Amino acid sequence: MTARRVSRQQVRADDECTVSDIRIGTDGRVHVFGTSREILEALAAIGVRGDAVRLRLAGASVTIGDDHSPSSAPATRTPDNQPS
Amino acid sequence: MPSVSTATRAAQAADHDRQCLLCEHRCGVNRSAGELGRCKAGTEARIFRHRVEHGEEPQLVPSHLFYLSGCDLRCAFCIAEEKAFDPRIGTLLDAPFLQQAIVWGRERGARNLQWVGGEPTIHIPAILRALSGCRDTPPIVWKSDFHATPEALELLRGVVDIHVADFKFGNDACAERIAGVPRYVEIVERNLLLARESADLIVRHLLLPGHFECCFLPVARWLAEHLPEIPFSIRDGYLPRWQARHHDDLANPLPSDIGPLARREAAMLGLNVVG
Repeated sequence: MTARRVSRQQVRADDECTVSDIRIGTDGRVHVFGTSREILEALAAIGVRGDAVRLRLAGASVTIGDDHSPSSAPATRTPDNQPS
Repeated sequence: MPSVSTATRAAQAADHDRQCLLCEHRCGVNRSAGELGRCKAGTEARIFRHRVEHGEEPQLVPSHLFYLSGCDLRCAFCIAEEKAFDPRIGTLLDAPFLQQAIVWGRERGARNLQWVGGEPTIHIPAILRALSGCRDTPPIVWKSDFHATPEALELLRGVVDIHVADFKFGNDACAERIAGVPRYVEIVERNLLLARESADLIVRHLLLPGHFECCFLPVARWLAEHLPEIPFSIRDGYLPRWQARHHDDLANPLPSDIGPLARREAAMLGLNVVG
């Protein structure tokens, strides 16, 4: 397989890479599937409630085994009924 | 860094191409000869999406997720819909593709490579073949329904760094009705204890509307008794998708008060709630 063919294949699998799915419930909750850092930053900028965004923006400094307190009711859910 | 050669594991996994016993359906089909079991998967695996995401548990992000088509379960609420159930969808997974994708993900800050689905378990041989042909692989995260056989989990020992287990149902009746799988609870509980011996473990539970008493509480209580220290990720963003409209209990979003209620209950049980 040539490098060019590999590159073309990757673009195919990447088609959905540039799209995130955001749904807003009638109760105001925001559901995000496929969250990028830019989306988290946008949600943080508009001031969504809860810890979900803040924890994930800080995620790079957290490691397995670190303790987290239970978060208060977040207004943002990321992600949702994601497949296994 | 995995301590066992993925090439060694790939060679061991090849047995399942000829007699597949990777998940607890234990179909025993010869996938190399074109026979199809419950998941309909052949010997090739396909990726229908891969990207660096920030919505996983805070311990994992940014994570490079590889979505494999095909699954051994048939959860009515699956957000991947037909992509999860048709293993013919997507780009062929092989070492050149994976190597280039790993570089791509690392350039975008990914801390790990995460196999999701569908269900990665049904593609263990193909995944190990692809990994064995790659250099400088990042830590491996295995996001699974945990309906694997012990034989399949053994193939992942020394290869997988972190298991993320979806503990979906707290009783067999709900699992049978919603996902079409028998003996669910005993299989998942057994596998959680096995996986804990070989890698880090995160248990995830998606709260389903109307399933607090029958599913969330039994899951939380079992974890409190057997694995209280492991990170427990409570997901409260359920939206009705796929075939959920055919189930009265799954046809609506999760009420907004259930997530906080579940977190309080889990904290009272002494669980290590994350994210």
